[in-house]
Amino acid sequence: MSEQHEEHAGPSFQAYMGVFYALCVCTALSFVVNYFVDHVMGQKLMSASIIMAVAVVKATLVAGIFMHLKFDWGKLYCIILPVCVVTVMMVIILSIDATLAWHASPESAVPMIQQK
Amino acid sequence: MSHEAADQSKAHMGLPLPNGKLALWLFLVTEITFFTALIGVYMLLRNGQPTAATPWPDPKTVHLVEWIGALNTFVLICSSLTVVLCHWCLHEAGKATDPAEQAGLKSKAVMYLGITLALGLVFLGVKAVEYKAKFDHQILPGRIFELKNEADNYRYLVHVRGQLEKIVKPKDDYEKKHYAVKDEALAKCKELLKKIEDGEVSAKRVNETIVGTKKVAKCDTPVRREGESDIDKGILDLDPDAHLAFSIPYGNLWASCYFAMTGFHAIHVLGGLVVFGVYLVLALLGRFGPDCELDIELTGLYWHFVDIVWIFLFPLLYLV
Repeated sequence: MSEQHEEHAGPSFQAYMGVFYALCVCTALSFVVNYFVDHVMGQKLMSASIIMAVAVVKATLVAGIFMHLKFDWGKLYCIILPVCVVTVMMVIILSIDATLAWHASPESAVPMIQQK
Repeated sequence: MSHEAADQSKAHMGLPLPNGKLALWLFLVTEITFFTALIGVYMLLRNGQPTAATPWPDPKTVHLVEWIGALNTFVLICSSLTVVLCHWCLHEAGKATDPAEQAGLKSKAVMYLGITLALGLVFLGVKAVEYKAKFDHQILPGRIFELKNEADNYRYLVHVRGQLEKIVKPKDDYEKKHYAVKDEALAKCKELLKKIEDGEVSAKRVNETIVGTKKVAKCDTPVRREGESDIDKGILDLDPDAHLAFSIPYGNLWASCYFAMTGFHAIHVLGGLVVFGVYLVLALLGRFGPDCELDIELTGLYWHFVDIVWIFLFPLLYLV
């Protein structure tokens, strides 16, 4: 059934449990930040930034330890890095029209209207 | 470059990985672009057109409950842990020299596999409950009223009139049970139905009566007619479970994005569960052991990827 077994230094049991606890804490943190920073303080942008940063940390932990990328990165980076570049480019390009729209910065649009 | 050097580089071609692992990672990178495209389009639609006056629907408006999303996140994280522990047990069983120890580790691996399968089913069960709520409240692509034009307004009036008739004058036991509302809300429903029947009220005013003036999107706020006042408490404030449609600007786009992203994700979860099910059957047949270590590692890689996708979908849909 198995193709071949390679002896490699995989994560320990403790490392897996550590990542699990960290993921639980991060999920709770997203929830709390959403409640206090967004709903109570009304800082929607700050809340969104923190929550997405926490999501990136969680994804990095899962990919690094659970998916063994910490150990396999040297063999796999040539496949993964180009895709990461493409995905970041895609998100940036798809965000351009939102940031260029007048309603993204209504205060800058007002003088233009007044000039007419 | 000398011939000797060229020969040496030929001898080192290929990645020092099992073929299956390489193939799976190639598959996963195509999956990354697939989900990035879905999430990218969601961001494009969400940030492109909605404005402060006509905002993108917030989670509460479209009946998304944050803690249910967080619960599903926790369930997937737990399943990710159990799948790596299953792999770890098989790895340790392969190294164990004592047969009793090896058998113990093998049965532990099967147990973790079973828990992973059960957690995946819990995830899909919670998702099914969420989907049912969307169907019950008609929060579906193309079925949400946005009051954008006269035709939409007319359809909305006809639809709400039908719902109010079921609330006020139920025809059978099902309608009596399914459409029942609290007394205070019922009085308002009767009043609203009469106004609609008499043709006295506009679609936007009907929406205000249901939601309350303060909660309607600013774009839906009409110029007040003479005699019309603010409505502090809409019918849904008096009875949040009342089956009454209300306007959700960009609701149809939201529903399309929601069902596309969570639907594709759920299909991926289902795929993983099928594979886990096959391994459980192999375990029952006594054909599951350290030989399956690489297979479980590869299935685990796929499963963790599905987890990572949800790690981004949860905040994007439920929180941000």
